[in-house]
Amino acid sequence: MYEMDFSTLLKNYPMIIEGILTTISVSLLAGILAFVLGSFFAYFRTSPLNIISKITNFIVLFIRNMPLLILIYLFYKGLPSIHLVLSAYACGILALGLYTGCYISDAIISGINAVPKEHFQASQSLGMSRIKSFIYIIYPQATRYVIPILGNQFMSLVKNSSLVSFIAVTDIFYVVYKGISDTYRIYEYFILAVVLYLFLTGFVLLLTKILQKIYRIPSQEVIV
Amino acid sequence: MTSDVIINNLPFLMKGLLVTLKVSFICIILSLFSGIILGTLRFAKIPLISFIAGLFIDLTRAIPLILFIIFVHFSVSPYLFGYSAFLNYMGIDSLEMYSAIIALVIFNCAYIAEIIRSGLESVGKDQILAAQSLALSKVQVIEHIVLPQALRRIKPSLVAQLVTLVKDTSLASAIDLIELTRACEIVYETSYHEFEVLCFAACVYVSVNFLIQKMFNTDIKC
Repeated sequence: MYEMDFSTLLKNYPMIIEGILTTISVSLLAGILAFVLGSFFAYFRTSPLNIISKITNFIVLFIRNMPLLILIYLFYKGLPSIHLVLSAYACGILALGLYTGCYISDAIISGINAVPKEHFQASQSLGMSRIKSFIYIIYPQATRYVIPILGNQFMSLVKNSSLVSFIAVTDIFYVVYKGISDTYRIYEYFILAVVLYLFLTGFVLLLTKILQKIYRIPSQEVIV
Repeated sequence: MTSDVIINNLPFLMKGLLVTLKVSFICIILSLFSGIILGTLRFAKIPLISFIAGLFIDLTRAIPLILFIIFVHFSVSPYLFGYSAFLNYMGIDSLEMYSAIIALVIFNCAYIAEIIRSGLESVGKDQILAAQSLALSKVQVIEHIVLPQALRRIKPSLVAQLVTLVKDTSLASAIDLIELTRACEIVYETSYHEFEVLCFAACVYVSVNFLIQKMFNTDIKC
């Protein structure tokens, strides 16, 4: 009969805390990068120049259809063969940010489509350039529309961040996997990981709800 | 940049692709079935069962897949290995493939169940009432009225989930199942042409996913 023994977790607490901090920092940095990249992709994908939107569309389509693991390996093991060496931590953040950015660009585009066309035309008639009207007029409204979708994407980003352990970044999953192979305490470590990921994703969910309330568009139902 | 490494190792890589396709195919079928059942159970609001189904779905959706694969591989599948006649019939011979399939099916059926439930809830309540007034039973209402409409509505997101499933089979390389990703790892560990091999793998995954999207007649969404 298997007996639960949670004291093995206590003995390993410095590693676990390091893992939690790494997961949080990786997801946070990758999230910021993903939002920036997603906005860029959305800007180029809605470009009136056909060739630019076609090219960006193809890049986004390609990245969305390949596994994240391959993308992480491409950054970590592929880039050195063209003489560009980055640390594992940076590679993980870049790959995660790029991957999630492609998904976020979709969400932002749907937000852009929800903004009435007249706003863009009005800003153009005031002599704003396309990028200026996007920054000042379109994006502030579009991101407000899509906060729930962005929250979902950040939640899956937190879960996807467990894949950076494949390139030896000591995040929660790496610590758990190492603990399992060191002590064979499968169930304790599994429960620990489930609880930690539940907390993290729950926190993102809570944050989304709060942001949704703060940035609610007055006199308008929030589009989910 | 050379393409020799890919041409020389093509049979090995194709063997890996075959394993990927096999795992994805079995997982797609099993998770679609179980997902429809689970989603309907959650939708049906049967007192205890719906609660358990909801709890299972929410818990599974909150944890990363890779954790799940490792857990199943270390704890569940050694006990179950060899007992399932159906899976043996499909030609699953290794412990790794067995646990990869179990983990992927359980994980994806939770996602698919949630998609199915959202589709079921999008069908108008008045249709259910009308069907009930025609004296159809609860099962009949879901089977003949609600589910056919729901499946049509959720087709794009369902196909997107299947594409995600195919991509997620790459995570089985963590438990040393020699599918496409692991095969590529083995090739570039011996040849040191990482960039070419990984680009090749990416292209293969993308084309498989395009094929799936074409098969289900959805637009390849840009």
